[in-house]
Amino acid sequence: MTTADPTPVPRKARSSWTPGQIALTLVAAALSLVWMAPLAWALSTSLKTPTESVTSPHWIPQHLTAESWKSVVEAATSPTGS
Amino acid sequence: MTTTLAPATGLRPRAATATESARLRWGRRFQHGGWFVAPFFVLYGLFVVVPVVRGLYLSLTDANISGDHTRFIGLDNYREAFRDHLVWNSLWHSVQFTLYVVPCIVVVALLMALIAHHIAHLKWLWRLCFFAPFLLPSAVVGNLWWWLFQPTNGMVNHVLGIDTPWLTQRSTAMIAVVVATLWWTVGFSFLLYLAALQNIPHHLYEAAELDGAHAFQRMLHITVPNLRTITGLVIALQVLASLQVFDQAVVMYQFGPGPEESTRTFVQYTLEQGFTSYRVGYASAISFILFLIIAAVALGRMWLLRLREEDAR
Repeated sequence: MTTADPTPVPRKARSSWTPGQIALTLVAAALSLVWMAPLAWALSTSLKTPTESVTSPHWIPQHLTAESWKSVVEAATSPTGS
Repeated sequence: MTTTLAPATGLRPRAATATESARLRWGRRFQHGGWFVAPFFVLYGLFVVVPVVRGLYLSLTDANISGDHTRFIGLDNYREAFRDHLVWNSLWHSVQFTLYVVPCIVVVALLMALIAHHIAHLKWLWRLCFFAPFLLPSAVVGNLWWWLFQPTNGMVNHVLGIDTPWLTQRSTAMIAVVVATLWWTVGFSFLLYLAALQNIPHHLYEAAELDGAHAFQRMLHITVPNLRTITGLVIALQVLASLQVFDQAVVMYQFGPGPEESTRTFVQYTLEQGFTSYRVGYASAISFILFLIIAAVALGRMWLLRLREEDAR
């Protein structure tokens, strides 16, 4: 008597997106958003013109400019440091 | 005649030999280990012991910043410090800051660590987000939050839809420093908590799950007791650091004492006495008072820890 080889039944992989994990991810995303907001604002302001950076606050620069970054590089490379 | 005392005294040569060999052993040990630790002791002596002793000496004199005509005045600086209401005021501000910031850091760091530990996706991203501000220098943090807290063009008021003058009114001035400090330093405590969470044996949770404990019970009866030691450490480190609060507050208030002198901290007052009033002797005395307070807190924490260990035995 021969028996057929038991064929492995492919088990359905359990999704890691359980309700608990979804809630946890949402909380983590919200907290990260709050925590990164000051850095994002600093980065966005560094790409604004000096006039725009002191007007009413907004996240996206209206006129993108790299002037502030150029000033930093120039100050760092100039012999007087200013 | 060549007689020796050795046979008469009996044990003496053996004792002498033992002393000699102990000395040799110590010498050999010093040869191996001593030279390795010598650079540390030299640097420690130069940069810690010498300045501390010099500071103690200065605190007993009326030294000014020029160093001329320094007189020994005994404990006069300490007597004056205890009568100086600005010393008490600035000490209260440092204590107030500590009382606000430490519980906030403990709660937020624990919450962040629990999220980062239990989350299944993009673990690295959450860790990076929570830890990133800790990498910034204090001057950057102070300036950044000074801009964010501006009443008319600051992002905080814009997002919250209010027009609170955070940095210019007494009731919110310290809160602004606390918020900036929480945002900046929580990453360090978060890492400590995360490491502690990863060290809790997983089989404890499995066993509890088999026993039917739900998530909150597992948290209450496994996670919290296992985090007790690290919480003690986090609180101690934060208290010691918060009592020395200086740079972020000073940068946010442009080296001023804040509205109605509400954010002048103890270290800032020391700096003012030393480098604005040029009273180096008095500033040294105030520094030593802060040193004694911090040492007392550290010793108190050690004593409590020892008591708890003895209770556990």
